[in-house]
Amino acid sequence: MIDVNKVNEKHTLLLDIMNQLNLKGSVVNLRYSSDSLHLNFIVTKPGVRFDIQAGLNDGKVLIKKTKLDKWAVLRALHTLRNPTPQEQGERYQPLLAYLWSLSLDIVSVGLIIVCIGGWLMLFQITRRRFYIGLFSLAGGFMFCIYLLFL
Amino acid sequence: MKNYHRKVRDIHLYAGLFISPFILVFSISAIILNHNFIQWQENWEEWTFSVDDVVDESVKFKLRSIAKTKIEYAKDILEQLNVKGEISNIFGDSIKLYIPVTKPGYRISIKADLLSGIAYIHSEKVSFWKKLIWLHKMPGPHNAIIRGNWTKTKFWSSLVDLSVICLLLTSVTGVILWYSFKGERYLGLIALFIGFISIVSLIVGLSV
Repeated sequence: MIDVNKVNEKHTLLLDIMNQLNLKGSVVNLRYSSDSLHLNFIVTKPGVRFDIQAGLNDGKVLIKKTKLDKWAVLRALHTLRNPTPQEQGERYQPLLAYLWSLSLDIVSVGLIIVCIGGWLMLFQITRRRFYIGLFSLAGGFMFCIYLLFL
Repeated sequence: MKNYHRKVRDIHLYAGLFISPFILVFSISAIILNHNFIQWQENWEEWTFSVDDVVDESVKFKLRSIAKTKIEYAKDILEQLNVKGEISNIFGDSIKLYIPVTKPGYRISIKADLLSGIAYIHSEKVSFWKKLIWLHKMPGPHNAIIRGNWTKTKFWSSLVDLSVICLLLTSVTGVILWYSFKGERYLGLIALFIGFISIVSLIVGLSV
């Protein structure tokens, strides 16, 4: 049971409920039920998902906790990203999730630099290895161009 | 030892160069997806049924009952319409069938009228960035039963597997090569340690 202040706006109410339940994670699908008696939302974090139904009149909260296996944890990490402008209102990004998406950027930029660095270093090796390397590079490019443009 | 070192170096070089274009595709699209630089989240319903509003072409097709599953039925219709691409989903009943089809650069909405044998087609071009995102997300875990129903998607899926194997090879050989350079060991160890600690602490922190 929790205290529900119905005067609060939807998102303020959500934060209040999450604080009372001591829940942390990204919030998705925040919505009132069709009869406006409940506030429903999902809280997710790697490994676990909570489906919450908070009664606005009686303060009764139904929590369905689903534990996810290690593959689902990997999938959650793989798809964790910054919220879109449309999602900003209903998706609360904890600091660690922000750091995770920042690390995705760092890894992506790092990989681009490694690729370009690798191409430049190709010019510093012996002629025979240069041609085999060029052949490998051309093979990779050919497949990508074929799928992107043909 | 020298021969072994040369082999490791060659694997690192050639595997790394082969996968570099794939890495570019995935890295650029990852940044776009992470920051939502373009509106990549499709309103699937809107474009699946967009053929109800705009028809570019209508084509006759023969109704055959040899197809065992919905996907085989849809593939047969696509073949007759000469439309190529990945079937994203199939909606409909015994009267009409909606078949949304995607391929890099295009999204196609098809409505097949099963009574008259006429298919209505609406095709839209999408941007280059969405092409990259298509490759990043294909074949993906959604609708796994029907995904990979286009030859090019299957081909791309195999290429992604190959590039992941090459990436693992490049990583392992990279570590071996780094270890053999005594002068780089200290700095490399620090970089490796920071990377390892960062990912472990983020995963643990996010899971608590």
